[in-house]
Amino acid sequence: MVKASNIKVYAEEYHQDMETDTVFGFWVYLMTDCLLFATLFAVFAATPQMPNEYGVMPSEIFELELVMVETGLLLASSFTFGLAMISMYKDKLKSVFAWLIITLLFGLGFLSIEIYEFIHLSHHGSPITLNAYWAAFYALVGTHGLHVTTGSVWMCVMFWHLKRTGLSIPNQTRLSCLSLFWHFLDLIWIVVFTMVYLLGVL
Amino acid sequence: MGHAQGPNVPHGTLSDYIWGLIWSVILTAIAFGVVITGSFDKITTIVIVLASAVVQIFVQLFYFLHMKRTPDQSWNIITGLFTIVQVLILFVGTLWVMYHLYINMQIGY
Repeated sequence: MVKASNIKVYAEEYHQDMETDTVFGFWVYLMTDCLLFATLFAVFAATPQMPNEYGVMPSEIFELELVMVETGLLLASSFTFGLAMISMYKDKLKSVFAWLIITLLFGLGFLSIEIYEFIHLSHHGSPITLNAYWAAFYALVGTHGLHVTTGSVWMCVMFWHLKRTGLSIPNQTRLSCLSLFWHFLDLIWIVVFTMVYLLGVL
Repeated sequence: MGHAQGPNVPHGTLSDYIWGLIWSVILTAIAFGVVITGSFDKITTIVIVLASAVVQIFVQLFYFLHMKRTPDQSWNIITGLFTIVQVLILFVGTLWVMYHLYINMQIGY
């Protein structure tokens, strides 16, 4: 005999499976994003360093101090997003908001430095149109920056969702996907600062 | 069981995130440190920088993305491994082809 309460449990389990599948689907999207980045990394790695308009090599141009601050900001934002997720599991909406705002500020700090770097490079003899090396550089680092921008916009949309419906099930799913996205961006950044900047200045 | 209906994805604990942060900071400091101080020769520096990047990727996969060998995670790990294979074919393949083009055709830049 099937009790009404059992049917409710089955329905909830079915629903939970759907939410789990959504997060897995998002994971698969991130894996395809890995291939996008692998292509850009391959292009960058296959392109030798070329001098800029003043005849200076990229190895003498990059400022590692800036990159270090960028790395610190992105790592800190990855950590604070983790704290937001812990608050979500504890059902504390206010601290989810607080940690997400801190995460967003770290992310915007990262973006500001990157935009400053791009403008500085472009105005000091290394525009994107100069040669294959700089085109590959802006394409790779810029695509990562665009992802961070997208993540920041998504976070703003998330604030709106959370304000409307709080920590509802769809919002938990959305937050889980966004957290995967944000941690993934930090992973890609590890490869960027290693390949482009650290190996670039050697 | 207040959140039984939410997505069934692995939860990180506070200590997971703190350990992830500590290891990431240490590995990043090592990578930047050896390049900035220049205390090793070029090959050693490259090996240290690459090794700390690879270790940091696994640290973050483990502590931040919770890629642990639990049954719920098996599909994530299978798709992840498949992606690693594809990325290696794409990346190593490109460099291999371009290197041979460069050697055989004497195309400078």
